[in-house]
Amino acid sequence: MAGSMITSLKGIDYPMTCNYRIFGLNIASRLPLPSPALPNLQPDDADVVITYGSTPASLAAPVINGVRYQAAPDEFLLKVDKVASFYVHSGSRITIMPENGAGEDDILVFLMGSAFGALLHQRNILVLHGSAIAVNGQSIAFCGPSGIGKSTLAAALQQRNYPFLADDLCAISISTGRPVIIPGFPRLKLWADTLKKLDKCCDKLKSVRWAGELEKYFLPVDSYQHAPLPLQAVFILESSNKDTLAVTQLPGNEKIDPLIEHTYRRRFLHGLGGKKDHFKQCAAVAANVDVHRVVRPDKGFRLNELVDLLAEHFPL
Amino acid sequence: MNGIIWLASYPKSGNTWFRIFLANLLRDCDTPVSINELENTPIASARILFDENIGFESSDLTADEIDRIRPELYCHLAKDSDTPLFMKVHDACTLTDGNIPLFPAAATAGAIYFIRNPLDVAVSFAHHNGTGYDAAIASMADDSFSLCGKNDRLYNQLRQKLHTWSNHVQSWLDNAPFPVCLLSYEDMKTNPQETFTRAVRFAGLDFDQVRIEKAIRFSAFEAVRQQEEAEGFQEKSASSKRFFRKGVIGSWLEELTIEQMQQIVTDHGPVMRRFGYLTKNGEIALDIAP
Repeated sequence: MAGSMITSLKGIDYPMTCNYRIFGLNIASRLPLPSPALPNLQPDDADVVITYGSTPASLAAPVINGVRYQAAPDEFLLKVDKVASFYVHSGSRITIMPENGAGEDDILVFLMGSAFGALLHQRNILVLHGSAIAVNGQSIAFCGPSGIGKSTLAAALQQRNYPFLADDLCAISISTGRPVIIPGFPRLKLWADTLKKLDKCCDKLKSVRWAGELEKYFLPVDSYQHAPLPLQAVFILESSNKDTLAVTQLPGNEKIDPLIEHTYRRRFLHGLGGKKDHFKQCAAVAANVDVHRVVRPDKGFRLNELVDLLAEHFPL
Repeated sequence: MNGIIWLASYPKSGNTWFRIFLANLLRDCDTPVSINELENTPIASARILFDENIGFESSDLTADEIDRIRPELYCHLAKDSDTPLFMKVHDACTLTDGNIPLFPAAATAGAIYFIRNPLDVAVSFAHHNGTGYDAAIASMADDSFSLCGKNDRLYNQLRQKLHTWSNHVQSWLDNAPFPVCLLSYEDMKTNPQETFTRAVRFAGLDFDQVRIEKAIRFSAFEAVRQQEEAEGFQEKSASSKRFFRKGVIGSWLEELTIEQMQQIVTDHGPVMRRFGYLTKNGEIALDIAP
C-alpha cells in the first residue's frame, strides 16, 4: 500500500504534530517520537499519521484474537492495560486512546513496538525481530528470542563504530529485488546489567517505562544511518548450557525457517492476511543473503569474544 | 478432561522426571523419547508463551504487570487447546496483586503436585544452582524468594514467586481452586507403578499397565542419566555439572551437617511432619530413607 492512500490530512489540525522520517516513511505524529523532527516536511506528504482519538472497542470481524490484540485484514487493535489502546489500519494510520493517567513515555514504548510492527506488516514490509548495524555499506541483522542479546550486540558493535540501523524491529524491504534494511528508531533499549557490561552509566538515560520499577533504558544512538542498506547476512542467535561459542553458516534449504520463526509478531500476520506474502518475502531474503546460526553459552555472554568471532563473517 | 493440568512443584522434586515419563507414555515408542524433546510439557513461565499470545512484549512490563495478565494467558491457552494441556510450573499457587488466582480454575482441569523431602531438595537445589547447601537452605526459608526475579536484566522465563518451601507446598495443596493430586518423590521412587498410575488416572488418561510400566522404565533415573551423559540436557542449569545427578532418597544423610538438618527442621517442621518427613515426635523420619 502506497503513501498516496492518504489523500488529505487537512481535517487534522493538531498544532503540535511533528514530522519524522523513520522506516523510510514520512510520519506525522501528534505524539513526539524519539527521532529528529523534520521541519520541512509538509503534513500532506505523510505516509503515516499518528493521532490521539477513539479506538474501536473491538474489531468487527477479527481473524485472530490474542489476549490483548485482534487482527483482521488491514486492521489491528492492541490494548495495553493502564496505558493505551492502539488502532492501526491500512498501513497508514495509528490512533491512540490513552488510559487515564498514562504517560507519553509509557505509550511510546508500545507504539514503537507492536503498533509499528503491525503497521509495517500492513505495508507489506518484512519485519524481523532483531537488531541491525551497517558494515562497509551493507547491513547485518541479528535475530533471536527475547533476552538472547540482539540489542546488546548492536550496542557493542555500535561502540566499535559500526553504524546502528535498528533495534527490536528490523524492517526489510524487497521492493527493489535485493533485500535492504530500512533504518528504524535511532535508539536502543538496554537493561541495566547490559549497560554495565558496556561501561555505560544509566543515570541520565530515560527509562523505557514512565511508571514501574523496570531497570531498562533508552540509549540514544549517535552514528545514525538514514539510507536503506543492502542486507548481507542474518545471524540467528541461540544459547545453550554448553560452554561453547560457535557460528555456523546454514545451507540454502535451511535458511527460510529461521527467518519465518524470527519474524516480528509473526502471529499478527495470520490475522492481517499477509501469511502468503510473508513466506515469499522470507524466501526472497533467503535467496539473497547468508544466514548464520550463532550459539553462545547461557551463562556468561562472552561479549567481546562473540563480537570478534562475528566480525570474521562480516563483509569486507 | 478439558483445561490445563499443572505439573507443579518446588524445583528438584521430581517434576522433570514425571515430564519424561509423560512424554514416553504419550508417544508410546519402542525406544525412550529423547530428554530434549519435552515440548509437550512447556513451562508456564516461558517468556515466549506470553509474548506470542498477548500482543506486546513481556520485556516492557514489570513482573507484577505480567502476573496480572498471566491468568488470562492461561484461559486463552486452555480455550485454544483441543487436547489436555500439561504445563510445568514452579510458581507457588498464589494470587496476583489484584487478588486473582495466578492459575485460574477456569483454565484448569487439575494439578499434579510433586513433593519431596526438603532435606533432599536442599541438597539437590544447591547442586542445581551451583551454590553451597546453606544458600539453598536460606532460599527455601525465604518468603520473598523468586526465580528470575531481578528487574535489571531479561531472563528467558518470567518471574516466578516461590515463597518458602513450606508455603509453596501449602499454596498448592490447601489453596488451589481446583483438584490437586499429590505425588511424593519418595513414592515415585519406591512404588512407581501404583504412584504413576494414580497420576495418569487423575489426568483422565486410561492407558493400560503395560504401557505405564514401559514409560516408567524409559524414564528411570539410570536411563535418563545415560541420555544426559551422551547428548546433554537442554534444561540443565548452566551453573550445575549435570541435571540428573543422583536421583536418590536420603542423600542429605551424607551431605548435610547436623546444623543444616536442624535448620531445615526449624524452618519447615510443621509441613514436614504433615507429610511424614518428621515423626510425630518431631524427629527426622529415617524410614523413608532407603
